[in-house]
Amino acid sequence: MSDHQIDTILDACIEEILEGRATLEASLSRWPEERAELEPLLRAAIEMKDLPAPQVVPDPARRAAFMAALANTPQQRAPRKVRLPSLPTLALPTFALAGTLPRFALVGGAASVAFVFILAIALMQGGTQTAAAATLTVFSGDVQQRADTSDHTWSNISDGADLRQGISLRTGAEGRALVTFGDGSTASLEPGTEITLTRVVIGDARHIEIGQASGRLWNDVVTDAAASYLVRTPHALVEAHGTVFETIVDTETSVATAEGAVQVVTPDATEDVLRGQVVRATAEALGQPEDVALIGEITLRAPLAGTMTSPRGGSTGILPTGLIVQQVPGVTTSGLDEGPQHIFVGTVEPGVYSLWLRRFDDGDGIVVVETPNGRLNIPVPADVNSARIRFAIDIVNGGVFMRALDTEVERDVPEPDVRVVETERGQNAVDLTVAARSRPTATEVVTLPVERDGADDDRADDDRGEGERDESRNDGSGDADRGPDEVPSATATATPDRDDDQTFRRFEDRLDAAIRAAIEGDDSALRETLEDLLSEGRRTDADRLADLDDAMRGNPGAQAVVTALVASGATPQFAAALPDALDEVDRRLRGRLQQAFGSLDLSRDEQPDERDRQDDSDRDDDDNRDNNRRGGFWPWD
Amino acid sequence: MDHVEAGERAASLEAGRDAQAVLVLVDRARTGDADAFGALYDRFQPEILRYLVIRVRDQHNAEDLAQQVFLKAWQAIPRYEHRGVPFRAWLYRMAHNQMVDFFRTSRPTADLEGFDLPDENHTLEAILLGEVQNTVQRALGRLSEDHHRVLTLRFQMDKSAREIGEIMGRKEVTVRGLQMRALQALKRELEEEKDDLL
Repeated sequence: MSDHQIDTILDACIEEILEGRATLEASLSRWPEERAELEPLLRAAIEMKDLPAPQVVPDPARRAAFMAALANTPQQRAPRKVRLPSLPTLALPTFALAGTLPRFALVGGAASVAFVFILAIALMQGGTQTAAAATLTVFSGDVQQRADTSDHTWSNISDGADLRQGISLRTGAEGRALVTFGDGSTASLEPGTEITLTRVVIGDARHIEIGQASGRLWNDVVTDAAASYLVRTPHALVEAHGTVFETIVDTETSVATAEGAVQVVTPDATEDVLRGQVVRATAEALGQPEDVALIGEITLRAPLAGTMTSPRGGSTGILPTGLIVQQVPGVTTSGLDEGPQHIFVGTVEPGVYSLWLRRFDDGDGIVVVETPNGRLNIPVPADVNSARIRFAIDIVNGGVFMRALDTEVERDVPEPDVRVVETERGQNAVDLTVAARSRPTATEVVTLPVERDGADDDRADDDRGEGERDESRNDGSGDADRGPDEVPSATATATPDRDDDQTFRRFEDRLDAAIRAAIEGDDSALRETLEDLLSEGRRTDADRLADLDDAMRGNPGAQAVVTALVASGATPQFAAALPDALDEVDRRLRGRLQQAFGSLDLSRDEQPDERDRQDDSDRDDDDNRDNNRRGGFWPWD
Repeated sequence: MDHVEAGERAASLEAGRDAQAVLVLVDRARTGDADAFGALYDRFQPEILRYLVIRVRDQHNAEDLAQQVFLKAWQAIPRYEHRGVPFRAWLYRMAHNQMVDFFRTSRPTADLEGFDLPDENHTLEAILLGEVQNTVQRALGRLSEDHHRVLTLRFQMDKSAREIGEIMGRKEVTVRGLQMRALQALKRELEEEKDDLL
């Protein structure tokens, strides 16, 4: 009798006892073999049931007080979200594009039609169920198999092999491989990893269970709330329904979530690990989730889709077919439906990574590379159809750093010498024709000198759409060999704009100009601009606060804003207005603003209230979990 | 049997209508309709208050917390989307979070002698019953939060494993496992309580 079965029997017994359909004895008599195990638990259950229940009666006075309080309490608007489009699940056969990544040197309407056509062809190939439980792709090094856990003999397994349920795999010191399941979910094995495909059921309902004995496993799980995807390690059980997460097994199990959320279960505790968090489990205890820092973010503010390939194989990004793949451990991508494509880089193996760009619409743009050391804007001229930008991931003094090796795109590069595996993750496909239609036009804008950014680790949660931020303020010359502590710079030539928000655009440009003037010694325009910011409505406050944050990303800009605030005597007003606006922006932006304004005495009459505590609604909403605030951060907190 | 099935169908239909009515109220409240939210308050406040009284074991604090829960719900309801989390479960989650914050920021003031005990009937039987209940309450108090929560929802709030799953954000199968482990833990604590008494 498994734990699962006894759980179910126990629950059925409880149900009928609670509903009065059976006595304890009658219920137990139906399960003679389980009686010894069930009886003490049911007796404890009955003691719980017999606890007195408090009587609650409606209180009209309390209700009246509540309605009065409600009348004075404003509602919060819904935050914008970056969400991938959800198309029907497709069962397409796995195919590998070994060294044959097609170029998308297409322009305008022709490009749109071509992408639709290619996507349609890819979809038409589907409809059959893979007979094997999964398929293996070997990127590099040795990969071995054994038939089942009772078999002690390991033998080499080759690329493209079909995998059946029960098989164990292990990678050597240089071995990297990818397991692709029938529903499109993938598990990437890093060197020194050993797993067993304990259970693989793909059909009406997906049930995948992987036993992981050691190493690092990067799991990209197709979203299906009714299906299960489990990774069982010596220390914990990790359960996912549609997410990207990694499990590292050594003397402990480390579980980090890059997208969505997973649940980590140990015999004594359970923790939800949300996007951007990591939790560690040992044989004795399960820790609390902690934040994982990103080492870089790449934003494609250009009509090109990008794919990041690792030095040893695997790819994360949007393929020319519009499919999203997330196969590089530590690297994730957004879609294109609510703004530009973002590629987030967490803790990854050192080496040279390539970002492959493929055009899907007319126009020029920029690729923005942000790291804790600053921001680099790489222009993409309108005549570039396919290109590459290389990045180095280095380990310096125990820390992992990312830097761009190119300050301009490398055109018409020979096709990648690494392998990209396209899976059937149909529901995470991006329709690039739609992306092309909804993309804003490009407009020339002013530029500002690039400045050191301080400890700005990411833009991961910033979901503002294109046109809401000017990425072209930085100007300077590139330096491919700069170290991680040096300030990057680049030339920016264009930025997208949004036709329907010219007012915002003017404000943004004005703020840029005001900050530049303030840096040069005249802060009158900045003071006036800040006063305007404070006088606007809540919705625009939040947007403009985000814009203000952009403008302050260099220390001189931040200092100018703080100085102007103090000089204008507007800090109390600012203090009163900010909390409401801050409710509308993401956690990381709030953190940056805290850092910028931490030196100000933003005292106010009111003491902190619910706004500065963790937001229940965010905590309860999976899609908003990364907006959580775990505590106040302003000086009055 | 037909009569039973007809009764079940009627109950199911009624539940469906009830859920639909709640969704309509929620939609109206999302647009700022205070009257609609007032109707939601009338519908759910007693249940949420009862849950908080059970957990906090202090009527006054529980009432304050319930007011805060519904005010926060009013603020956040424009961001509420059904997507598998019924409104009732959403309120429970808020209540739980509010309760956790309350425990984190205040010293326990719970009435360790329990509530609603028969204080006028000092018969031996009543005294013994009260002692048993206090024993269970003390044992519950030593359980992990997850275990305490699942047992409260199951046995004192009469929630099914599915409903608890919605409230706790877990799968039903996970809740059943959690329930079993919680009962095992409760049994151990009750045995220790009894050993201490001997």
